[in-house]
Amino acid sequence: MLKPAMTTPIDPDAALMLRVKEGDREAFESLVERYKQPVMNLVYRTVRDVTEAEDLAQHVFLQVYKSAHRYQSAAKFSTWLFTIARNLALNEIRRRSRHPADSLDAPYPGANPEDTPARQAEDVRSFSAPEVMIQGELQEKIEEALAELPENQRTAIELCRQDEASYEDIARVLGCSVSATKSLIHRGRETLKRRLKPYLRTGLWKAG
Amino acid sequence: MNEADYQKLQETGWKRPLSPEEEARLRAWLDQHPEARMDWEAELELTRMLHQLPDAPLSSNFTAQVMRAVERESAAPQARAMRWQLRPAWFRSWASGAAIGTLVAVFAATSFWSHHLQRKAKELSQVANAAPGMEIVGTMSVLPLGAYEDFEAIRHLTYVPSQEVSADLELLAALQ
Repeated sequence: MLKPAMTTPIDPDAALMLRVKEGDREAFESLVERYKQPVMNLVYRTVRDVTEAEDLAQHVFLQVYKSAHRYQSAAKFSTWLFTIARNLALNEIRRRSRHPADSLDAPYPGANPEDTPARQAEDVRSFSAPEVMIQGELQEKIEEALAELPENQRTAIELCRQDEASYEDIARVLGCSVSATKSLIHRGRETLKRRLKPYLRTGLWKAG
Repeated sequence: MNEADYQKLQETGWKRPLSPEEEARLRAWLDQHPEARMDWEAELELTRMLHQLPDAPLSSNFTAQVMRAVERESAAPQARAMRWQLRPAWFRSWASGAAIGTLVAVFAATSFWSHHLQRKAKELSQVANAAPGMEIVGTMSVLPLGAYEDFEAIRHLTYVPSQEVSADLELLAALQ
């Protein structure tokens, strides 16, 4: 009796990307919808400016579309996507360091002026006033502490927050080994624990 | 369980909550190493805080903006072709003729230079055959070192200045 052929399950995002290669715009739109927030989170925590981060995030997806012919299905789509996002964000940081006088509101090089229409405001979660203060202060402290980390540690920790990204995926984005990636995350977390010590509640994890 | 296993559980905890079996192993370890308990609790709290970080603000029409940019990108090559077609016919024929003429001129110049180099190489090889021991280095003919021994003497003998000079008696004596 013949056994059915063993096939490696294809990454669903890779399957979508193969359709994008054939010119399927709906497939591309699905990918944008699925990854726009993770990409924005990664880019924002690198460039630290909402407007610039959103412009960059748009360019990340545009770059993905333009480079679709180069995508190989053996590579996990999210790894490829986050690598592009990280590289564009780092390029922006380098560009800023060379031209510090440039306005942060200036359109991204190559951006079409038609593409700066009014951004529609995002929904704001509602909290009661004291909660807003505590929540806001804590989040601000965490963001400040993250911003002070070296870029590779911060990126590793940010990608670690993504449920879909394994340590192997993160290592590929960073261009280093899995053990080096874990070391980066460990060092970053140790720094964060030191900086956020007054805000860390202990005794929550019940003994025995 | 040892320190390395504890580290592995930490790394697992960074990505997801521990399973009941993993928690049981961890409790056993912490019972034996109570000094690690505070650090573990700090790790848990930090993981919780990082996971609760709000998403960066993002426009609700972000996807629409990206798709508009994609459509413009796709239309760009067609727009370029359309712009070419819209140019006057005389311009298009002139531009095409100029391009062809430039190609022909470049080809002719390349052929002439190639022929010139081949002729030069042939001349040099003929000189080399006539002068044994001579080497051709690039486009220069180089005689072996020994050939230059009498160079100064010969130069003096063949040099004819504008003014008349008397024979170099000292040199003649040395040569004798």
